[in-house]
Amino acid sequence: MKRNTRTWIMILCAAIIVLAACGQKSGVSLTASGGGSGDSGSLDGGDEGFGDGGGDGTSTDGTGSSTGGTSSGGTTGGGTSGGTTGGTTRTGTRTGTGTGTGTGGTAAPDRTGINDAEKTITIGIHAPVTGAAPIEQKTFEYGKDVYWDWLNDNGKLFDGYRVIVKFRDDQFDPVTARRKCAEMVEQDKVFLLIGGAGADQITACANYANSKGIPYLSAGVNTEGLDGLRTYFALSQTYAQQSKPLAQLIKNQIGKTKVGLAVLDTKSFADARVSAIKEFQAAGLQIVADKKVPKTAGPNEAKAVAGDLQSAGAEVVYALVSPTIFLYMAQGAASNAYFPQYVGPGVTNGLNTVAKLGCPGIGAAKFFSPFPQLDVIDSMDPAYKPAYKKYATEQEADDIGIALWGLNKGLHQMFKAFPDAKSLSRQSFIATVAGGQTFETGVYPKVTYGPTSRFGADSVHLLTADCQTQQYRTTTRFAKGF
Amino acid sequence: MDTLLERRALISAAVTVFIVILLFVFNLQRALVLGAIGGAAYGFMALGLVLVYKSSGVFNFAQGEFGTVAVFALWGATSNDIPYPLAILLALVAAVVTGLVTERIVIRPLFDAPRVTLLVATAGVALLAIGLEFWFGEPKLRAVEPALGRLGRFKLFGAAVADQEILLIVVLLGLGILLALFFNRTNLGLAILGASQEPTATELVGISVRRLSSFTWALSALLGGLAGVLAVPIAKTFGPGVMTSGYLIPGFTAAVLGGMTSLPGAFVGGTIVGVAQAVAVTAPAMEDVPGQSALAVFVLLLLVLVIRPQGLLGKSA
Repeated sequence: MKRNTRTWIMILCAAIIVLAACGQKSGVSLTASGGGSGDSGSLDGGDEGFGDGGGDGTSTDGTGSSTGGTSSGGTTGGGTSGGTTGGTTRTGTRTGTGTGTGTGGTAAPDRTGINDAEKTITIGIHAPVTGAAPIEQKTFEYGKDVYWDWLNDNGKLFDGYRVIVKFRDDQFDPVTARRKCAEMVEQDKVFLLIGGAGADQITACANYANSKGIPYLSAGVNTEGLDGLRTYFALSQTYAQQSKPLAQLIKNQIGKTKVGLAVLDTKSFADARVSAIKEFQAAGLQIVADKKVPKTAGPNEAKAVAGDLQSAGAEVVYALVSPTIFLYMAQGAASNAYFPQYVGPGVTNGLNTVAKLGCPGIGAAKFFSPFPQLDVIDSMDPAYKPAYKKYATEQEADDIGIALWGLNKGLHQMFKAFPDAKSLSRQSFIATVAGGQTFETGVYPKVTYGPTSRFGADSVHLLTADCQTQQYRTTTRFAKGF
Repeated sequence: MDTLLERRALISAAVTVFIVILLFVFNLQRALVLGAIGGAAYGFMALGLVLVYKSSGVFNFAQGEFGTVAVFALWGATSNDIPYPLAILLALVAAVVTGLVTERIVIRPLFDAPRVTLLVATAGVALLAIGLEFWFGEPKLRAVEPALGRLGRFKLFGAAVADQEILLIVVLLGLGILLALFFNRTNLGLAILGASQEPTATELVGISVRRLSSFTWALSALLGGLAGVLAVPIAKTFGPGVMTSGYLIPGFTAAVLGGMTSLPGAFVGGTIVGVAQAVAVTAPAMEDVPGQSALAVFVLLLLVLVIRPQGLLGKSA
């Protein structure tokens, strides 16, 4: 082999090793750890007295120079906790302790994204429609505006405001997600951001949004990396919160005891894995295998993981992996004539696409979900299917549409907490949503947030795969336990 | 010549025995079966890469997309109720046509350009193909059924083997032998080898190097297509760029491990890469290593390049 050729190969390999050695998508560690940021203080403390000084002590530029104490108190109170002078490293996890002094100030309400002249509110949604775990782009395009179009003809928002939805594909990559969120904030001037799917991407964007004082909503994913973010709100239970009902489901309904874990090897899922182990053991279940699945796993690696679970004798497999890897794993298991009972927390493995592509290998897989499936949506929200048909250009309603409908409906409930659009600002939105009210959509679970609590959902839906119809059925609605 | 062949066979046998013993010692024999099955697809990919490299000295980054095109064609045909054998035939034709078009439009005009230019050009073809798949095929997952649907035909070291997996390995072995015979025993095969080593002299004796190039690319695309239609249905699910994202880099690794110019080496390299991946994922010691399977493959590759740069079965320059 020629020397030049070898040199090229060596360069290629070195580059790939660097990427592979990271073990997760680049940028997750930067964006997920450390939480708060130092530069958000000035956005706080609007007219609802929610000034809380600077961030939590982790500078996003790694210099650790968060200086709190300058946030404004606004009209009903000053900053309450002051800023932060500690907690200065990228890798530290919220070690800073507030030592600054909050001083009442005069920061104007931040009403970016609200156009009173044109009566519009612009919001941004990101989700993976390309990359390793794609969700069909067309369904996002069809579904993102349906609720707001329907609302415009059925009751209006405030006195006739329209919500404009901007959408970006985050390519299942946290660095891209952060960039796309920044684009929506800086170019599209969105009022708030919504994460459609993908834990790492949601974590990356939520941290970015927090650093800019921008409200950020998503279905519940991980706690790690999101806990403590002031502007973040989970609209459903996190993976960790779902561990206890999952343990009850396995013990009381499935009636099997040997459980194997297959969890994606990403920092974002570490808390879910730990809580699952704890709750399963507390319920008397036996954990026979605990597999970390590479985020870039292909069919061969997924099949090897399935083989390990089979060898360990796992009757139930707790799957917290992306849909693509879950499908590879289930198919790999099926080719080994291994058909365990799959269970897992929601969001994306309970989509009908997974049942359509994964049957018969996934069997009667049971996954929690923040939203119900198509089989019961008519009884839970009769407006959805007709609205989808009318506003999504005659498309058949699907479950991603339900997810978006529920997310937007949840946001509408939050907007309804304001008497008029003039009182709406980023600061007042955060303060009001965190003020202890309960928001109920009839689609997503009820949520109640507190000043420091951002994971306020009280229940989940249980979906079960039906390989006859190649769809998921809603087995239990708004379940709090099993 | 005979001594050289014997030496290579000895190396190959020694490496194989060493790996097998290690796997048994560490109770990882199941990884051997899983790796051999997974590695067969990489071997197919490597065969196509070696073929083009042998004949033109080009690293063909578009090799994966020949396979993806075939998978899309197979899916399209089976979705329209075309019988499976005919669907496979159509898929392979689609792959070959893609290979020929690539050769005619991209490779031939750059025939005298530096090899690096050709490498970049093939990468461009791959990216263009993936872009077209996203454009026309939408970024969503699809399912394609295997030709042989029976699962768990038999168990070997605790790993069940499906009929489609047996088919993949049998076809790979058969093609490997046929290609070896083709290059060593036929005039056309010898002409391709001659054209890769001395293109001017080959032209002087009346052989059209350009026509040989078309043939080589068509054959390489056929191998890529076979890899796609045999391997992807095992996992059932696919999306745009499936062969490039999932099989190209392991295929390259397999080709380099095997020796870049060695067809049997491609097969051996594919198996080693597959086994390395399976071991990395299943070995308890590797469990806490992030990105363990990719890491294992590339550490292996670096070791081979440092210790034996010509690859396990390749000839030194």
